Amino acid sequence: MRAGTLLALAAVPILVATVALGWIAAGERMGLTPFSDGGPRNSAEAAAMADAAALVQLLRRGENPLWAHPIRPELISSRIQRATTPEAAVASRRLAVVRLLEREGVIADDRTRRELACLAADLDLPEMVAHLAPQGAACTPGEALERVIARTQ
Amino acid sequence: MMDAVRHEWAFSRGATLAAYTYGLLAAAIMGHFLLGIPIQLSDSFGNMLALRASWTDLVIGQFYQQAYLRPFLWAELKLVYDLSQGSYFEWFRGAHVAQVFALVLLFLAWVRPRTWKDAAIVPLALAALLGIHTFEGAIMEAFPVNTFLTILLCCLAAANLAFAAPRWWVDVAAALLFVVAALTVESGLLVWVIVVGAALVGARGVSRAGLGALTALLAGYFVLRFAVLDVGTPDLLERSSGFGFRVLDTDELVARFGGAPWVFYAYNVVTSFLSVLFGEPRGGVFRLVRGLTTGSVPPALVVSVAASTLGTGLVAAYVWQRRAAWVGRRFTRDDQVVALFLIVLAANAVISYPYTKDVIMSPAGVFYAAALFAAARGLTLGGIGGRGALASAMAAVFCLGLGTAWAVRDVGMHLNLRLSALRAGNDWGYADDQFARQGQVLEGEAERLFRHLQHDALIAHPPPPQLWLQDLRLFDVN
Repeated sequence: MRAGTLLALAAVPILVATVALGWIAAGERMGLTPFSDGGPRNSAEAAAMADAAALVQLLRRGENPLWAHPIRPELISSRIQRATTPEAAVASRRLAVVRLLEREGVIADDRTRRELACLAADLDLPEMVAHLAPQGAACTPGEALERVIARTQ
Repeated sequence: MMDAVRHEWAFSRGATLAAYTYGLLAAAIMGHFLLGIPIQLSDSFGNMLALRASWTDLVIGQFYQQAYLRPFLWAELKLVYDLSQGSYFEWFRGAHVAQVFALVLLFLAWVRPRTWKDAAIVPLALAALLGIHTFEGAIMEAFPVNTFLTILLCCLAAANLAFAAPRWWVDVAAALLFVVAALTVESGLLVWVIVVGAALVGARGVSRAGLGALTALLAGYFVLRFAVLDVGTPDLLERSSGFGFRVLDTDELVARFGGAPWVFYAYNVVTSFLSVLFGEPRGGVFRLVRGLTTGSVPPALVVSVAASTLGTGLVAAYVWQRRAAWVGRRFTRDDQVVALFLIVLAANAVISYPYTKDVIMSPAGVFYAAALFAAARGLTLGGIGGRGALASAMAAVFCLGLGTAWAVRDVGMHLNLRLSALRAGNDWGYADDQFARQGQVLEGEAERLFRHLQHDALIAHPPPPQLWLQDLRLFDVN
């Protein structure tokens, strides 16, 4: 075997990789999403994934965050496949996502805050409960979580 | 048979064109991934606020800093900032992409692919150039221009000048290049090493007078830095650094090495040297060895070390094959490229003495890729495995393994760019919250710039979707 042939062998996997990367780049330039699930499909999924850029973009495009959006089972749990954006933010277990929604004006009224605090309590997130309801929230244990789960069933 | 061999070695415009076309394609693909990253909050926002100062205040002020002397770093940032006229994303990200194109073109201009055999090696060399871990810091971050990448361009430009035909303007260009590089980042001093090192191995693009002028400029740099401006150098307290199996913070460094810092400095030099050759340690931390001792070795780490080690093996085989010529100082151009890599590697490791960081070794990483190209081009079959069917089969497995490992690293670098885009977007999304918790309040021009960049990152140029490939443990995505 000649040296040139051997070196061509080394080039083969790299050329395959370049074709794959080129496919991704060209596809994305054309608005496609090769080698990707396309990212969050709605603001609830963006909240569940803590994807701040997608979340802000979807909200500013006018998507209704208070509608119960479908959520893929792998993002939160198989039991929660439909939730509002604030509920998904709580279920993401990241306070920063909840705060982002507050700044975007999504979590505005006391009633919503109390309901989310109860959901946070059901998910055992004391820091989030303290943030959402500093004065405390009168919750029936398990009720808020059951209400969200019921939408999936 | 002889015809076939002659064909493999014959100069061909088509081969050169194919090599450059592939190089431009590789740069364009990396450019696409770079354009997915918004201007980063952590690395860039503070610097961009500083860039509102006048040229005089900004650049002259840099001559009176402690530990660092980098006026041209700020001049470069200021130039792009002023040119952008508020189109920050387009100009700063555009500059980064332009740098990648320039890097690839300068690299190819230096290694000079001329035959179809050369063209077959170019993908391996470019995968090493763009996929080596030392390149990560030159591509993943921006401040908002990546000045480490600027230094890589200066180093490759210096190599091109040193290997060019001697002309008066080559001397002038080399001197200017040194001044710009040395006053941008300290590793820019390697421009002197490259030109002088090239002359030592017989590449005489820069004349004796030019070498003398460069050496005078180097001496002038040290006089300016230490005697006139008293800038000094970073000390142990400057930043955390890897040692052994983990990163030590500054207090730990002082506690452990305060009485004998030379031990720590020697460790940094040796580990920086090894890191380029073997992909381990990274940033002074022996991650693979730690993984072996704990029984948990990420596959990506094995691939990374295998790629570097196999590549080093190829270069070592070439040096061994050419040892008689080297001893007799009969250097071919490929010999000169490989020898210069060894010189730059040693000098770059010495410059890295204050702390270990992969990106500081990025010039050596670039020259590693060039050495890999030259070694692969110059090596005969006997150098890879000898003659006979078994030897050929072993050589084939070696080449396939080498190519596969570098392909994985190259893809991993692109996947890291994509993850970096997500992180940059999230940083901007959560920035208000972070500032509020830190009690930071932005007002006036600072707030306007912040909102502009935040809008760019979240609305105008949001990060593209993540790729499922990132979840594969084969790729070193972190």
